[in-house]
Amino acid sequence: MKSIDSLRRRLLQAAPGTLGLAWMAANAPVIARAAEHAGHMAMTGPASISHLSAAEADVAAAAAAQIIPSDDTPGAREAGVVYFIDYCAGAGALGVGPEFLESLRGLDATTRERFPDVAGFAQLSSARQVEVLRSIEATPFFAQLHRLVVVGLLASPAYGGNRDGVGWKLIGFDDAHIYAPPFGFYDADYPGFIADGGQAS
Amino acid sequence: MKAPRTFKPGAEVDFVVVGSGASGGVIARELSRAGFDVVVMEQGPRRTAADFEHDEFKYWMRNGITNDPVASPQTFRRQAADEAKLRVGMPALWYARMVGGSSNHFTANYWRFHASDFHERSLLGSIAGTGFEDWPISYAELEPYYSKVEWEVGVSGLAGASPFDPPRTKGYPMPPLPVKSSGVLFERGARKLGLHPHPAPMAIASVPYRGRPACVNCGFCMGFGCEAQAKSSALYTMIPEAEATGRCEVRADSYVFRIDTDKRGRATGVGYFDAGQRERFQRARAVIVSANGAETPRLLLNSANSAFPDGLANSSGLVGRYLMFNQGAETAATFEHPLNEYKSVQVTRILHDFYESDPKRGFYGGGGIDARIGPMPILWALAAAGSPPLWGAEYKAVLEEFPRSMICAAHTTSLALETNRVDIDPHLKDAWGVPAMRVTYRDHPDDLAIARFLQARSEEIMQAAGALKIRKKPVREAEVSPHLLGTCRMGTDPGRSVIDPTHRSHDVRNLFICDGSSFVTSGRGQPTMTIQALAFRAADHIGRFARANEI
Repeated sequence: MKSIDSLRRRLLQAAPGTLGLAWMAANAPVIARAAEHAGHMAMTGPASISHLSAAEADVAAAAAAQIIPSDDTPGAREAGVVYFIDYCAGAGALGVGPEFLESLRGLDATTRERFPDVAGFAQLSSARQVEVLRSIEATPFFAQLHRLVVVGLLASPAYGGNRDGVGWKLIGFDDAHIYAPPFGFYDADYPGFIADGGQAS
Repeated sequence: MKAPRTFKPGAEVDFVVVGSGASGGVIARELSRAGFDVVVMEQGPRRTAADFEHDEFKYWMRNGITNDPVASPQTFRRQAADEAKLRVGMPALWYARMVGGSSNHFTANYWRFHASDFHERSLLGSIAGTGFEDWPISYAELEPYYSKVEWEVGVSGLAGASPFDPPRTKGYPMPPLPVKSSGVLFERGARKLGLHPHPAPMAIASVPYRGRPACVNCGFCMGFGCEAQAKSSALYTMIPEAEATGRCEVRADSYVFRIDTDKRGRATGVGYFDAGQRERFQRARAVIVSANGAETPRLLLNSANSAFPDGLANSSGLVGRYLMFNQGAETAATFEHPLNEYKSVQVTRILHDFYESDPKRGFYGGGGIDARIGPMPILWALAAAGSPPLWGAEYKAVLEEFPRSMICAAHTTSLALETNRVDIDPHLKDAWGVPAMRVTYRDHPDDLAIARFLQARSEEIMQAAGALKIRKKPVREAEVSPHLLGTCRMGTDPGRSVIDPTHRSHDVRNLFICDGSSFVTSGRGQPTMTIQALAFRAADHIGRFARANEI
């Protein structure tokens, strides 16, 4: 859990000078509340698979790792997306039900049809996994799987994916709850609003 | 502070207000301040700021604080000839179900209507096949109440910043919120094109205001409840002020399913289910329905009885008809440097250069354009994937554009069509056994035309601002909306409207209706400002009637 002090430090770094202090004074109770909030949601979820079968979990993890691959930055595997999919299987969320699980197992069946000497999708070489997924990328099942992987990457870590916020780090989202301007590059040197022929404000 | 007043359901109060949201909150506060006893019925729970989470999955994909399509199901169809299908995932008519209603999860864009919005039919002529009408009230009549909303509810903005702003008697009580990079880029691009961008009026505190703190720029506004109490939601403004009078009870977890009438055709009160699903009845001298543009007509239709066989206040047959959403268009743009749009409020700059309908375009409609982040990470990433979705290394590269991206959003008109409606599904019931709503909605071709027109303007603005990449979300027919408008329209002719210009129903003397359902035209998005101005005005009229024994 982040402490009020760490938020205060972060805030002062973000807002040097007068804005920081005056603004802090005006907002002290809110800062305390937001700090409480920062710890409101757990940063990690369950670390075991409870609802998917071992085979389903293997296929889901392998397919997720192709959708958001790990390279010089973390991907679906490091984010633990399969644990999020497992959560959805338990909660019936995002349409994860018998039909979806059957399609997931179907990836193993498709693999064995095309590559009879391979046990399942997870055991295929990366290039062949890509080949199998390309063949289904226009299907509703793939769209659903893709959706699950993306949500698992970026949902609160409390649901099992996005472990330690790696999904948020990947896309450049900071889960700090409090920010002070400037927020980005382009507003850093904004001179103030000037209406047509009017005064800056 | 003493505990808020409570009333026994069996005792007759002056007013029962159905709905505690943007409108119901204002009406409850005004009438209790005027000395009347008021019970506000809210179907959802009472949450506090500490209950709100930054949980995009829960709030956007699992109906965390919004109407649940399982417990409160809706069916949807495009036209009467189609089979109405059960909506799964997100309801068609989407609202926050809790004390404060959708003013909790709204984005808080607070545009006033322009003077033309109230008499466009006179300006432009009729539009065949539509219910395009003038309002029976003018901008001038509503202006004092717009100012009241800005000061009493709390709106940040800069008066005089837009050459298109309608006349105002007062400035804003708070300065605009700090500009974001999206606002700076939007301003830069729009000015190159000779347009008039200006600070967005937002119902979010930019400085401490009336006991509430200033915004901490957490970024979770649209679709989320405000943990800082800086968003001017009814939950933090009108509701506690109503309770502080000692004459108002806000009864949460109390789901009104019927309004009863007596032999004289007067409303006697409301039947509701309490938290334990027990049926109760609250008696009142008058009933005010502010349940939103979806639930208000459903309640009136479900209140049909032998004296009012087609539903209450429905002699015109128009209860539930002329449903309007507000069309719109999103244009995503990526720039060279980080904008970090997820920090701070959605919108800091808008423009109204295309607000007015222009016959030269060949279709009816107008709108405003704003600069914003749009969706937070999950929905942003899903939208960025497209269809069929990108995946692999190529998609990962796109994901990393998140901090450098923004959206230019157009908010546009929807024409009133008699065939677009909320009515009662003949087969489906909700978790309380109350007949569910059926939604029929199809955009008028002009609604799509104006949205596409403003998307083209948005693209030009983003190009002029130096965008490296632009992705236009295709404009499609709407099937989900949080803007629930027009379903009990206001008018002077009882044959062509449901309520009179004072919000009294034409058919039942002590039944008043005020919320998005009162709208005659859709405006250009951002309806809550006008809903609340109407509510302040309605409360003035209703209080006057009550004092004169005219309810």
